[in-house]
Amino acid sequence: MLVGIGAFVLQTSLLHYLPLMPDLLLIFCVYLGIHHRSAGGATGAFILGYGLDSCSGAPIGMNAFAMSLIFAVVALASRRLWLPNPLSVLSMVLLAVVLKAGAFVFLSEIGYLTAVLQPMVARYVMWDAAVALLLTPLVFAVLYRGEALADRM
Amino acid sequence: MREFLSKHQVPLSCGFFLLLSLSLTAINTRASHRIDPVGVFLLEILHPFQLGVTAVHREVGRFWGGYIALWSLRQQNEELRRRIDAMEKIAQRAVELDLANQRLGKLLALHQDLGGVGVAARVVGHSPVAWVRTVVLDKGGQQGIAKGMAVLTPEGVLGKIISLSPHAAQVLLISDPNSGADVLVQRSRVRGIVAGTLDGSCLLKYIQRGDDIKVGDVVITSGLDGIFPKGQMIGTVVRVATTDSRMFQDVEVKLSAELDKVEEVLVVASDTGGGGAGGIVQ
Repeated sequence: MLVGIGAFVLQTSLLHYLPLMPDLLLIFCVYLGIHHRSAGGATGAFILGYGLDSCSGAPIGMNAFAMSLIFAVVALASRRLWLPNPLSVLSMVLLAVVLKAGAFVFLSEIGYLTAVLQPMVARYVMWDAAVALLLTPLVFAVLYRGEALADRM
Repeated sequence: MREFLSKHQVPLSCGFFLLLSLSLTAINTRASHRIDPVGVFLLEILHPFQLGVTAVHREVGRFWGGYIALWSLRQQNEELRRRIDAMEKIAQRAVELDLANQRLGKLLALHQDLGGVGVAARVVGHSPVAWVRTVVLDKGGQQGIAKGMAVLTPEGVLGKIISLSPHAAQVLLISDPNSGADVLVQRSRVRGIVAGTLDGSCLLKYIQRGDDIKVGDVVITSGLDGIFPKGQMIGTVVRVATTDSRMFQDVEVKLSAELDKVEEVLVVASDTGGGGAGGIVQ
């Protein structure tokens, strides 16, 4: 929970000064799907998405839906595949980006997103994805260290 | 039932949240205003964290900005110092050029007054011995200078050529004890000889006791010595003394040319005519 709050705070404050804002919450959601395959993880993913919608002013439910979908797919995939290796993790993050974009397209197709938002969403999702892929190893390393520290304590 | 729920908790919870989020989206799409029951609560939770992070970011930014600003100020300062040094050199050179221009302008006027004859030269050396007053010019025999030629400045007579090489010439200054020039007092036309002394001053010799001369009289060349053209400025009488026992008056002349500061001169032959301004007094 603390990590989630920390990622939220970073995403809403410091990261805004960067020319391209990485989607740390998406990476965190993938992490939850790989390492916390439980109702708690699913709840966390939903809360992350809802929080994004609430703080950003996006339609409520839009990011909640996307994050829940990402968690579901990653959690199901991690039951079948051996995921905790760097290449697999990057593949999952890439898949998560595609799923996020796909979720927005789906919502717009069923009339839950206005047409005006569509091209903007598609553009920003793609840029955020590129930066997220670059940051994934760092974020995962930080999360692993954090969990190891929490276990020792 | 519990076993079923426990075994399928992930898909069940995922399915629940997917439906929940779709419902929320549908409700918000159809509603006239934004329905966000938890939004206020989330904002309040995040608020202190965001305040803290922003404050830290601001302080770090201020410190870094100050450091970078100081560093860039230092660089700017050094750059400005370099530019000031360069500009001071340019300004100095401009002043020098202006002064040289003025001196050369006067020399040109003198040259024209003498009918366009003469060789312009620069003083490039001085006597290494204090009691011999000579200077060296940067022109010599190859440029048309000959022994015995007069050396003039716009302010007055400098001296005469005493030795020569193809590219250099030595001038005996008029203030040297071994020099002499036949001169006239401009006002009274009294004739005498100007010669230097060991202490650097100049005396006007052979002025008889009854001759009309006083302080302030201008002394010019007479042209009769065959060296200096007639009418060239020598100086001004600054002291006249008469002693009962002596036949001649004791007359001191202050030279018009500043012999130690001369840089450009004109070397002319003794038969060069004089007249007009620039060292020649009407």
